[in-house]
Order: sequence, then structure tokens, then C-alpha cells
Amino acid sequence: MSGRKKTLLKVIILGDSGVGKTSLMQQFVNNKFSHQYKATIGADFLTKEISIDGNKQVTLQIWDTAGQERFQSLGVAFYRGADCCVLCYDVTNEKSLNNLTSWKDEFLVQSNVSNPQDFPFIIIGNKIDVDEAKKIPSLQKKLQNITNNQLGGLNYPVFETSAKDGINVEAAFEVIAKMALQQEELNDANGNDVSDDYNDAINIHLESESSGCAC
Amino acid sequence: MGKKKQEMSQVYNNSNNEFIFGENGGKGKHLSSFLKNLSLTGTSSTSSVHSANTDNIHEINSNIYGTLGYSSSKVSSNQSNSGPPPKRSVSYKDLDDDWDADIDVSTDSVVRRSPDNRNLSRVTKVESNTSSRSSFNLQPSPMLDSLYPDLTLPATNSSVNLNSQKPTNEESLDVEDYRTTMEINRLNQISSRNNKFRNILISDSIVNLQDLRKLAWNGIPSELRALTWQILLGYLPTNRARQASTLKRKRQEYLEGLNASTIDFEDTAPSNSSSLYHQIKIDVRRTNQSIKLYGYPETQQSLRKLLYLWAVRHPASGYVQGINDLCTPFFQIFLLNYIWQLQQRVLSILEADTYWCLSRLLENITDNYIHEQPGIIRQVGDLRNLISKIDLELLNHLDHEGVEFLQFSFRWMNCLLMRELSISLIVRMWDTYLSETPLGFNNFHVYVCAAFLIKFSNDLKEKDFQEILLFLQNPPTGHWKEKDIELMLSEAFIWQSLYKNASAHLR
Repeated sequence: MSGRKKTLLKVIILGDSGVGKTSLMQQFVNNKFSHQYKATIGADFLTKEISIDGNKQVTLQIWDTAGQERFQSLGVAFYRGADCCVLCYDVTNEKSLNNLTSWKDEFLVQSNVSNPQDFPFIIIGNKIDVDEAKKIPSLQKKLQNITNNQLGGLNYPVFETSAKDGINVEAAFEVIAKMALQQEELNDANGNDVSDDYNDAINIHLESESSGCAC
Repeated sequence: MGKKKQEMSQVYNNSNNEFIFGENGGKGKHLSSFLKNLSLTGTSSTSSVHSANTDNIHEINSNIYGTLGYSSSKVSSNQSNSGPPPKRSVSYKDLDDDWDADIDVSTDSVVRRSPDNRNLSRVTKVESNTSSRSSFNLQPSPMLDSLYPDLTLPATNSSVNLNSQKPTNEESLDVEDYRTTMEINRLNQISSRNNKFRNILISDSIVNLQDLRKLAWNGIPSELRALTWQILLGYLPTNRARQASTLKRKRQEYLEGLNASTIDFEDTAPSNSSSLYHQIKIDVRRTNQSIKLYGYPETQQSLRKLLYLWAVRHPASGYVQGINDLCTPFFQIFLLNYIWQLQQRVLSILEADTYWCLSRLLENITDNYIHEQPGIIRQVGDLRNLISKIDLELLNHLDHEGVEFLQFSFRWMNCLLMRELSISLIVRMWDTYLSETPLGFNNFHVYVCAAFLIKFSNDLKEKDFQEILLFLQNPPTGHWKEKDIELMLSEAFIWQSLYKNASAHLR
């Protein structure tokens, strides 16, 4: 695995139903927007190769998840091995903003990452193309409350985007990629131990299985 | 004889069109604008003459599954086969494009486009086609009446001779005549198949469910599909004397249920209502967006109503994304039964029938949608087990690449493959699912998913993790026809008979 030159970075997009997760991913990967996306069931997945800081080639593997709460138990299958998590809300939907914390918590519970304290998250407020009147009143203040003041606040980079008009999407994903790369390198650094443990675990498992067969 | 017949049917068909879609469409006025632009009107149904001629020999010899009754839906798949649909923007190759397939079914009875010149020049063929075709278009009206007794029109069409004519072409034996004969045979088979259904559905006072299932497993003629589905689902009683009163009561119950709710279902209503209704609202808006029918405010409002009522009446699961997909086959199949007589009050009947049939369907798969969706988790596990028996090599490859079954087959279970196949194919599939005992949406579906996955086995074995997931997210089924579905269903059937009782042993 370590022999591979290309770095694979796994990114998970979370957030309430209808905030535009699919649109963000499609805009970033395929530079297109459609009104015709269906509700995502389970999770969809796209990849894109980009270069970070003009030299490092990486493959972003982006998982676009379903927003409905009912599907959250699926997380385990999709979150594992994530390098960065994108928390999305809709600038016209206050509830989706308030739910960011629970999306983060849910992710940490299910992904079982090694560094929950400093795992890289990023916040995206989507749909800034809509009329000002439709936006959440005093959005900035509410956003600050969530990012700064709240207990265990979401002190993460925030981007306001329009997946529809392609505003800020590229920039957000550039940061996502950098953060994911850092996480990946961090994992690699401690990672030798981790993966050794992992291999040991597998060996133990195999041994016990073969002894099972012998019986 | 033939010529006169042809003229008659043309006259009939023209007036038929006019009644439904024309400006002086009388009662249909209100909804006719609503339906005018339905993709229904766009199907070049007559092209079936052409396609049937090119492959009917093959079909008649090889097909044992009764596809022959499906000329109209076959056309729609043929059509989607002929390259990307021109009217759709090419910029997204979303699965949704598959849904372009025109709403199938009795398009024949509604709209008729001129066949291409090649066919026009062959009078005999066109004639035989037209006459037999119109014969089975007209016949079902008594059946429709049993579903919608209060909507019955005086049967203006009863004077038309219903029996298909069988021109004899004994004198010449060239290929064209042979083809014509084959076409006639094909149409006769359709007609005889329709008669079989008709016998079961209306000849006795009690519908024989066993016989109906057996027949319907291989596909239901589109004109009889709504009725047959409702009986197979147990929504409509098999006792024919009780059918009308049951329908009346059920439709009334539905309306009362709606009246009890406080939701304003108008699209313009402020959306700060319950989060349940919000979820339904945003999902209905993105249901089958590439099919015009689902873009109409009336349709969307109907779906919102029935989904909402279902959700509040089934609090254990509530509304789960994907259920919006599951109600659409009912909605559009039932709609096609009203299309000959469009009235506003039809909408509530349509909703009620869809609601009850959706309820029946979901009763069988409740576990799929309750907390943590244990039904789906079990099905995904069963699928894996099944693949380990049928195609171990594929399983090993998926394992080796680190692909988990949950990653690709969760949606297959949650939406019953509706995201993977066009709706006309789904409708055919449901003929069989509804004929299985117990209904095939649960266990049989897993066997179908296995057959579906194994269809791509060779492709998948060449791919790595990313390629596999990307492939399965958008499997190449755009060109599939009913034959492909029927093959898949019969494979599933065989595996079910082989492994059904062995599944416990598997684990």
C-alpha cells in the first residue's frame, strides 16, 4: 500500500437533507449544476485528481452522503478512513445550521478516527446565490455562536458557496484537500504503529481462524 | 374488408385523441392541460411495427416469458435505446436520464404517430396492425369500469368490432408476407393473453388469485395492469361483488384521513411546518424530475398528501427517503386508467388508490424503514451470502478490493432498484414481484439483486475499488429491454428455488 505514489484522500460531505451536498460535489468534480438531482440514498461517490500547492498530486475521493437522519446508522460503512469531513448547511435554513454540531458528533462516533480532538472539519454554507431576504436573519452572528462560543464549538474554516453558480466551491475544496493531506500525513507518521497493530490484529485473527478449522 | 376496417379504426382513433387531448375535450378540460405535455403524448408507438418485424421471429421462438404482450412498453425501451434522448441536456449523465423512458402502457390508445414511410407503404401490414391494435385498445373499457364505476362513460366504442382480423396472405410467400403473418401471430398471441387475463378477472364471481399470480408473473397487459396489481396487493378484494364498495370505502377513508391533518398541502404554503412535511416536500420536488408528469404542481401535491398521510399513520418508520420513489409506479399506472376521462375528482381517487397500494407494499417491507433499517441490513447480508454461493470469484474480488456490499447495494434495497432501472422496466418487474407469494419485494428482491449484480460480474472483476463503485453507482442499464428484465427475473427465480431453504445452512 505504501508503495503507491498517488495519495488518496477520503473526504466525507455531511449535512441536512437538501442543503446541496450532491450539488457541491458535482460542481467541484464535474463543473456542472442541475436541478434534477434526486435525493441521495446511502452515499454516492466521485473522485477527482488535483494538485496541491502546484506540486503534490492527490486523488480526492469524495463521499456524498444522504441527509436524512434515518440513514445515519450507515455511517460506519462510509466514514471509515476519512481524512476530512465537510459539514454543510443551507444559508436559507436555520435548522440545517443548528444541526452542524450533531453531524460532527455523529461523524466522530461512527468514523472512529484516531484524533477526534483535532480531526479536520470544514464548514460550508451553501446557496448564497439566493435572495438576501430568504437568508437566515443575522446569519453571521448565529454562525459565530456555533463556531466560537458553543461548548466544544466548531472552530473550523468556514466557506460560503453557491454550488449553483460555482462560487467559492473550488476554493473550499482546495482547503479541504490541504487539510485532508495533513491528516493523511499525520496518520502516516503515527500510522506505522497503527498499521502494525492492524496487521497484528489480522494475524491473530487468521491464527484463531485456522485453529478453528483444525478442530 | 381490410380497407374499411382500417378507416374505421382510424376514425375511432382520431376521435379518441381529440377527446382526450383536443381543445374541445369536454370534461377533460381541466386536466388536459395538465397532461397535455406528458411524455405520454410523445411515444412513437407505431414504431413497434417496425421493431416487431425485425425481431419478432426471434422473439416468438425464443421467448418463453410472455414478453409478447408488451409491445408498447417495449417501444419505450427501444426508444431510449436509440441514443441519448435529444430533448435532454447532455451535460449530466445522471441515472435520472433513464427515467426519460416514456410512461409506458396504453399510449397506443391515446396517441398515434404516423409510422415511418417504410411501413406506411405496406398497406397490409399497417392495416393488420391497426385493426388488431385497436381491438385490444377498446376491449378493456369494461374492465376499467370495474375499477372506476362512477366514472363510466357511455360506451361509444362498443359498436366497433373487437375481434382482430386475420387477413390471409396465402397466395404469396415472400419474406414480407411471412413477416406480416408473424406480426399477426404476435398480435393474436397478445389478444389471447389478454383474454386469459380477462377470463380470470371477470368470468367468475371470485377472482382466482392462484391463477392470476401464475399468469401475472410473466407480465401483465398494460391495459389490465392497474386492476391486476390492486387485486394482487389485496387492496381490491377477489370477491367481485365487494370490489366496488371496498373501493368506495377506502377512498373515503383516505379523504377523511387527509381532512384530519392540519397541513396546508399547497405548494405556496410557508414551509415552516413539521420537519416530516419539510422532508417530504423537498423529496417530492426531486422525484423523477426528468418525467414531466412529476413536474406538475397537481402531481406533486398529490404525492405530498399521500406520503404525508402514510408517514403519520406509520410512526414506527415514518417517511424514509426512497419511499417517494416507491409510490410513483402506482401513481402513473393508475393514472393511465383515467386518462381517457380526465376530471379533477379523479385526482383524489388516484391518490387514494396509490396511497392504499403503497401501504400494502410497504407492509411487506416495514423492517426496511424503521430505526436502523434492519430489513435492509439483513437483505444486504443475504445478498452477500448468495453471491458467495453463486459467484465466489466475484465475491473474492470485491473483498480483495475492499468493496463492501452496503456501499453499493443499500440503495438497491432501499429503492427496490428504482434508481438503477427505468420506470417501464420497474413496472414489468413489479408484475412479477406482485405475483410472488409472499410478495417479492422482500426476499425475492434479494435474488433479483444477485442476478443484477452477476450480470456485471465480468466487468466488475476487471475493476478496482473506485471503478467498481463508480460503475455500480451508474450501472449501464439504459439500453435494457423487458427481455433483459425477464431474463433476470427468471434467473432470480431459479436461484430462489435452489437456495431458499438452504439460506439458514449458509450462515
